[in-house]
Amino acid sequence: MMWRRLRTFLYPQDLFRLLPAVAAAILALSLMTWPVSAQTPDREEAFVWATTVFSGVKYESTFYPPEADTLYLLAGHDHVIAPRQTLIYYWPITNRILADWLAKNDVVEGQLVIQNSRGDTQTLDITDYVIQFNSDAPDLTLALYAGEKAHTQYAQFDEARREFANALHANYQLQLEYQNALTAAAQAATKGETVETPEEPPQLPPFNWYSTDIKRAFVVNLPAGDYEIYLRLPDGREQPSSRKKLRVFAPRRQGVGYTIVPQAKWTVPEESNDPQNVIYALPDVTLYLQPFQEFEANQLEYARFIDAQTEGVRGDRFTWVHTYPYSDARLQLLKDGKVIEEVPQQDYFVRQLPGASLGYEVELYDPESDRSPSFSGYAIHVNEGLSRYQVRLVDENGQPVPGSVREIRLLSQPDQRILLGLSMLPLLMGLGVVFWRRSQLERIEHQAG
Amino acid sequence: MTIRPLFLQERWHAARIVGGRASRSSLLSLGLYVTVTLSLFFSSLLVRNNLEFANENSLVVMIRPLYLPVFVSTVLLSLYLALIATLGVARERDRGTLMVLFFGPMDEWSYLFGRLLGQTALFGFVLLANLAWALALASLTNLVFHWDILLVLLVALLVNGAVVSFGLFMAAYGRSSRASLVLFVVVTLVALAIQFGDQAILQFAAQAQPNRRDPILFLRQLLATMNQIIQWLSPYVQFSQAMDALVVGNMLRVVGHSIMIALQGTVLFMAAVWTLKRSGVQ
Repeated sequence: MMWRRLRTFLYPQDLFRLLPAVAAAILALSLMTWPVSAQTPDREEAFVWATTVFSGVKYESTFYPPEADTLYLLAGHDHVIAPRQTLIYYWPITNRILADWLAKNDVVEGQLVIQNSRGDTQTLDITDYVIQFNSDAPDLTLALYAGEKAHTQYAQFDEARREFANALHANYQLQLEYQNALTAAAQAATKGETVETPEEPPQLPPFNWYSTDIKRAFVVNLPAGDYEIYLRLPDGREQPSSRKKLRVFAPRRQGVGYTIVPQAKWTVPEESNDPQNVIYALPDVTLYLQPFQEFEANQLEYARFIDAQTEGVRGDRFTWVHTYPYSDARLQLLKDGKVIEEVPQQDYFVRQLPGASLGYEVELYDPESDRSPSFSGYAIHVNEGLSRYQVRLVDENGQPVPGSVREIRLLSQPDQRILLGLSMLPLLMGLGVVFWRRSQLERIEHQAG
Repeated sequence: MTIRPLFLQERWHAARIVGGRASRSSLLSLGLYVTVTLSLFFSSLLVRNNLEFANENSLVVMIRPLYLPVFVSTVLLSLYLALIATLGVARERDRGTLMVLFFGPMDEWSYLFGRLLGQTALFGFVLLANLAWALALASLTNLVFHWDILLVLLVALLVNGAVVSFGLFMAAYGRSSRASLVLFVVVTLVALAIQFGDQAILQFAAQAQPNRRDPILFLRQLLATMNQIIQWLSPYVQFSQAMDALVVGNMLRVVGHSIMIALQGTVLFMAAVWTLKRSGVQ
């Protein structure tokens, strides 16, 4: 029965009838598997302002697409603004306008014209610049050099790098000789000869200096305010689409922030950024304070200053920017304005507790151990004897560090029924008033009736 | 109706009588006490959350922990008092009481100012309760009690004045109790929706990474623009910014925001007087 049906189905005339459908199916399948060529975004040539700005910690680069109308800079620091002709395109995956710097990255020569809100104008010439720092102490060494100084500094860096390469080569030779001498000594020892073991040559300290190549741009350092800028071309014309607003913002406040690590919850540190913050702690808790330098800036201005295309930021909010750890200071504990204790900065090691009950234990770091410390900070034990005191940092001259004072308070945990019961008092009062009023009315009605 | 303009002393006298009557009526009803209880309850919950966090984490870092409860209380109480003022004026007009009152030495200015005075006195009374609550809470928990909270309460008094003036304006504009009530609720809800909507859309847009042509970006832009306008119109936004300035220690900005709130209140009150004059007391 089955076979008969199949035979009927496979009659040549039936196959012929099915041919268009089969062809359509094959075509559809082939289309589905046809290799799709990769979509290349449309690039268009555009003039952009590219910036390399000092963010408070390091130099960071961004560029402003033609539709951005305002550039942002931090007041009182050297920043780089580069007029560039490049190819830009929209990249939907990251939802950003990108620049194809490899395909085109031409510096547009000219003068930067800066006009402040009072109408005063100043012009800047394009200049060579270089940024250098030492990774051992970036906060002390990070610098931007412009003009002739850039060339001098870069030459010094180049010379130091060359000297290091030579020293490295010489050290490699010494190491090679040492290895050979060591092998020879080992062979002599197998023959029963007594040979003096060679001394290992000292390791060369790493080369920690970094430098950019010499580049060309405008180096600006402006006071806070609103400006307008544009690029004046060598023939006196204004570069099309170069006119932008420039907002130079200053930090609202500066100070010292703390990362506070509770001993029991090492993985959940708290931060105290605002000098007005009060640290509330439970009794018998040890806190580790790690100070850092910081400043407070407008959220939108700072975010756009770092990344011109950032979204989701607000102009009516402020953000604390952490810069460098505050080292070389002592922490003082104060009670009623008098210093009661001075706490040194120490290294600590966080040890994971063995066993099923996962947890951590913070212990004083042992310099003899072969492991490096987990963190460095000031340990404060909050005890019940002191319900309220202050901490502050003092520098090497014994002067209090501005913005470093914090109040620490011992938090009491009252019964929650008392806490919520307090809010019910007005209701009780209201009920009392209503009953009193009702009884008054009833009394009047009774007297009248 | 008054046949000659009233002197300032007469207006003040009339306003005091209207205000006294309105505040006495509210003090003898349960609504005010329920609202105060609710506002303190929400405030206590906020404090309790912070204490819970400290309990779990061994510590909590806070800045002026009593500011937010005071802000919440101010919003709830001022909205309640403004609503009561709206309903009070609208009902008196509906029932014809207003017309009868205006046959005596009373005009729109003194009547509405009396209403404002009454609600301000009530709010002042409630602020004392708030202050007592804050003091009790601070002593129970060892939370810091900064005396600058008195300044916050003073600005809150101005905020309440501005919001009540808005309620009076709605009452004068609406032809009936129902119309006034609907107007008040709708305008308040729209203002709140724009402010909260702006924040919600901002957070959503930041998480969703929308395409540049996504309509959500247009909506966000629209809400942000409207929110910027509302920042100048809403006494609550000015209040919040004044508290922020107080924390930073910028007294000039505190004064600036307080003047702005007073200005908002004055404009709304003048608008209420002008509208009531135009629409009449019948």
